[in-house]
Amino acid sequence: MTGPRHNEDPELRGVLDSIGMSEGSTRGLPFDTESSQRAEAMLARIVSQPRDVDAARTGPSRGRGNARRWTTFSLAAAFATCVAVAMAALVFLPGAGPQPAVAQTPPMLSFSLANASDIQSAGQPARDTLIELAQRATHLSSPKHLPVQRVVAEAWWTSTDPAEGTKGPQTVLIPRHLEVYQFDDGSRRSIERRGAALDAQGRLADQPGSWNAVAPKTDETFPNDLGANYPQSLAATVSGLRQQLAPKSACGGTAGGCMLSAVADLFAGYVVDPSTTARIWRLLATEPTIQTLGSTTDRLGRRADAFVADALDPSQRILILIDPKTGRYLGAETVLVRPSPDLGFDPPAVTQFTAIVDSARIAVSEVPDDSTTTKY
Amino acid sequence: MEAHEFEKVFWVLQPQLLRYARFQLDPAGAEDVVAETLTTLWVKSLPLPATEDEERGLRALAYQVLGGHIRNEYRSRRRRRALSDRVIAQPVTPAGGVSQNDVDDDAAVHHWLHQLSVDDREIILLFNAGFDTAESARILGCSTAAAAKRRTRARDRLRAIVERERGRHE
Repeated sequence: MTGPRHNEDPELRGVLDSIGMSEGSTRGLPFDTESSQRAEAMLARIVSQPRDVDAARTGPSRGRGNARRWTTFSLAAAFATCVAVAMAALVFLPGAGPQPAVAQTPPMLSFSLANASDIQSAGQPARDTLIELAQRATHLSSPKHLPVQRVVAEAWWTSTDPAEGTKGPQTVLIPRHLEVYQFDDGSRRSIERRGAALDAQGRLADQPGSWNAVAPKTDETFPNDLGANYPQSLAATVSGLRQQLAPKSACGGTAGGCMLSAVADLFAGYVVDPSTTARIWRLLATEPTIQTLGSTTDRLGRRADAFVADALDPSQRILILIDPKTGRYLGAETVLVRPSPDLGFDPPAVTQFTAIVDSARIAVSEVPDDSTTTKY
Repeated sequence: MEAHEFEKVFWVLQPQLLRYARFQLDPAGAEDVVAETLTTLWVKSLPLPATEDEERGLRALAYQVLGGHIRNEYRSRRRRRALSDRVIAQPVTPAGGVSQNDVDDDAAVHHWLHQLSVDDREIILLFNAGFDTAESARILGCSTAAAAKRRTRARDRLRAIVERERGRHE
């Protein structure tokens, strides 16, 4: 096994050096006689375990950005400037699917080729549809030659307090509005606004009239290590792209979920040009574990083709939504398909969704005043 | 991976994972989660890495699995509090054959890291374990941008703690 590559952030390296935390990272605890014996016993116990042929589905729990608060991120739908009440109506419009056991999560979308209640195993071959979408994506308009990439998304934040005593986990939904500005110098500004939590029935309460009227909850500018031109740096070949977005050894047997997560991550922060978009759809077409659920109506009321794969977390599946007419990326959802003691609601349930409202290159003059942003 | 191949991987990963876990859990808890992690890798029947990238990928996967097991240890507030108390009460004890310098170094690092939140500590430990931002993001299950943001925040908080404390002693 090789050691780590030299990583970035010399400032952090300096802080760690100053507290005696040596780079190294691959250095483990040194072995003494007792610990060696314990390790040998551990190894013996492990290799005596039978192997699970269905191992891919018993994989690790996917890491969470903020495990202490037991939050999951649920993303909501509405146009950037529409009133929040209208947003609520849009969000619940597609909810012809089954309701989750409790009301803290949005309704499931309905799909033309799958029953949402069977989402755990639903899906049909997606290759042909994705190839067709790739072809359509090549005809998307190219982004303007302007220096700043802006992506606007609507979101709900599902915040779950953990169980305590006899009280089960408590979940509330908090609407969010996200603006991401990716600058040419590699820095990225992220502005987030939040609405009030939804009530127990999933209705909006005390919502602001417009996101523009809401003060940002956070406004931060920080270095984005991938740089401004990350989409352009993606491999020109489908096989190279696969290695970048879903390296086999890092995906734990869930290449499809890895790819869909990478896609959601990419489009949430960058304006992706048509040829790259098309190449990504062609990559997805080569992955048999990515399947189609058919057509649906997304949280903004837009027609969409839905594609699904198992997430690395075996309790979840990830969906992405693509405009069937243009091949444009529309958003992503994560669906709980197995019970999770941490969340306090039963499957199937939407635990996360993103809806991209706008993705465009803009002039520097169009970026909001940065006098209040916190710079890292 | 056949058993003899897994054994090679085990002897490389086990001490690294144990060190990482010991910064977040008490020694017994750390050993438990490392055992669970390596068991998960074993039952998944992963191929033996053939290239450097595959090795890095497997290592990242191991940390991802370990992170999940550590978070499971924090499942309830009550349990988290108890664990935290155990960690705080737990001195970094030298074991036979372990140099006193190693122990002293780890105790000092513990002192600083445990003034950070679990999130901050996690991203810093991943950085120090040699993972780049994209790998850390995959391990943590967040976007690359979010991982970068977490790292810069954690860095600033740690620096502020160090400066504040050292300023008091000067």
